[in-house]
Amino acid sequence: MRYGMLIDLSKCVGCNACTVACRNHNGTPAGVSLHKIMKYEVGKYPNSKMKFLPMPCMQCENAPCEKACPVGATMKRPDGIVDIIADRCIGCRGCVAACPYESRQFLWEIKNYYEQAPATLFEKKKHKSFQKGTVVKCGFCLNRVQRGQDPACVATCPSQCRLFGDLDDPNSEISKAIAAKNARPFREELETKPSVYYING
Amino acid sequence: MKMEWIILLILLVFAAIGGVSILHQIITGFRKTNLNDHYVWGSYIQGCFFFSSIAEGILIVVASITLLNVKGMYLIAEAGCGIAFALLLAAQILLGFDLGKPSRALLMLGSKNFYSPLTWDFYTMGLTTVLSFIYLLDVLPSNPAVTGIWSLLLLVGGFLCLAAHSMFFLSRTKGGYQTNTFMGLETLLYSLLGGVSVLILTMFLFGMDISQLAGLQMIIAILLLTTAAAHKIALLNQESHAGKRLMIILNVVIIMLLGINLTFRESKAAVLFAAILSVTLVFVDKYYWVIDNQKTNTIPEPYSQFQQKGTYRPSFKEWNVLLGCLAICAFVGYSIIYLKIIL
Repeated sequence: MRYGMLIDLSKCVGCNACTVACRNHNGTPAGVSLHKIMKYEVGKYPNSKMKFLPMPCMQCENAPCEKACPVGATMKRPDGIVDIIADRCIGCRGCVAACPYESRQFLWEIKNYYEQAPATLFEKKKHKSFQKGTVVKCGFCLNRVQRGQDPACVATCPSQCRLFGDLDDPNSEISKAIAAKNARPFREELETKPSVYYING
Repeated sequence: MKMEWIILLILLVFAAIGGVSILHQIITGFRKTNLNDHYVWGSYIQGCFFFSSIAEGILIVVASITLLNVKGMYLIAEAGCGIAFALLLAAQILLGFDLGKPSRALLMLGSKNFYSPLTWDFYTMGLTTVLSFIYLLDVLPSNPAVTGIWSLLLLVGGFLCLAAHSMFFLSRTKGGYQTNTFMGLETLLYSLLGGVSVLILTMFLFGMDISQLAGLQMIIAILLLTTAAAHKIALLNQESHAGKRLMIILNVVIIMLLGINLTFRESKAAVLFAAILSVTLVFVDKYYWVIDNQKTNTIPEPYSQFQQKGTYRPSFKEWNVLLGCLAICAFVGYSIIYLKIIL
């Protein structure tokens, strides 16, 4: 089994609902986002357009971050998700430097959303799972996936531009879509073998 | 009171101030640094690579001297081990306190991930620190076989550490890989040049003969200019590398100074000035690879078109810690050389 994602770039409107859903589900501290959307302009005025590239962690099969970690805090699970064992992370940031997708973020501080105010109940609960001085990244909402749900970003998308499923199952919806629409990963020339594919981009 | 004791006292005071800065760093974490999501490595890593690069350069020279049993260079070996030990101590302090969780650093002891350059750095720096310390304790039996093994281990450890430094500079740009034909050789030559230069400065400070090392310094500088120029030529069609231009200029000046020394034979001033410039060159080289390299966005254009480019300048706290480690290194190195060689 290898979990993967397919994103249809022609349907992404750059609303960032996925980024907000990710932050809501994971309760990340202020300034930390496990998901991002890169926006960029193509064409020349007056025929230019804004385009959007949603970027969760690519969950690479040949993950440079796993290779860079000196203590084995980053490891690839059997289901294909690249996980971080927070209790082992020494915070060297070697994995942050190694990642070609800027998917990883170092927790310099655990900040509340309202800096001058004490932590809200939500923040108090959610921030317990974050350790200052360690690295975090998108984990495909593993706890949701284990309950049979899609990751928060997939479930939230208003234009339904994302598919999630088992890349090793040729009969899964995602595998069929990848094959039918010739989906490609981002920067595939790096040979990191990402599990996130894109079409119509 | 003897001058040497006064110098030791002054260095101790500076080392103590440095120690307080380092303790403060542990307490405050990264809050007082200017590190950010764009520049995840800064002056601490630059300093670590600077100190360890020079130390390994010194130890490669020391290992070669002892392995080949070069006569009349015992003092160089002794001074070299003393200075290298102090430099490695400073490098490991900087590396340790740059970690987000320094208390977990020993988890690397059981690490089997030799794919990671940091694992190699940890083991090789540790090995060369221990080997140089063993030499200073005078516990090595004067058995050629034992000395030979010690020298070989030191030589291999030094080279592997420098190889890890080359691999370490995984650029965040261009896909997390920075292919550069000359990186490994350049790293080695910068290390050797820095190491020989620090040895020259140390030996001059203690009134020892520096003539044997001056020639070696010249040869390394010429080799370095060749690789640096070749690297610059390779980058001609790519984005500008002002740092590389500066380094080539510095290198040319160093060769000119050494040329003056060769011509006039007695110009110690030229050799010493070249040594100071060489150490500066190594510092600039580490800045170029560690900090300047992070300037460009990892994700290529046009996708990173609107991505904010961070800036980085070491904060006051970072300078404090860096200079503090330098003070600790100077105190430890001076003490060792004074107690072991001069007294």
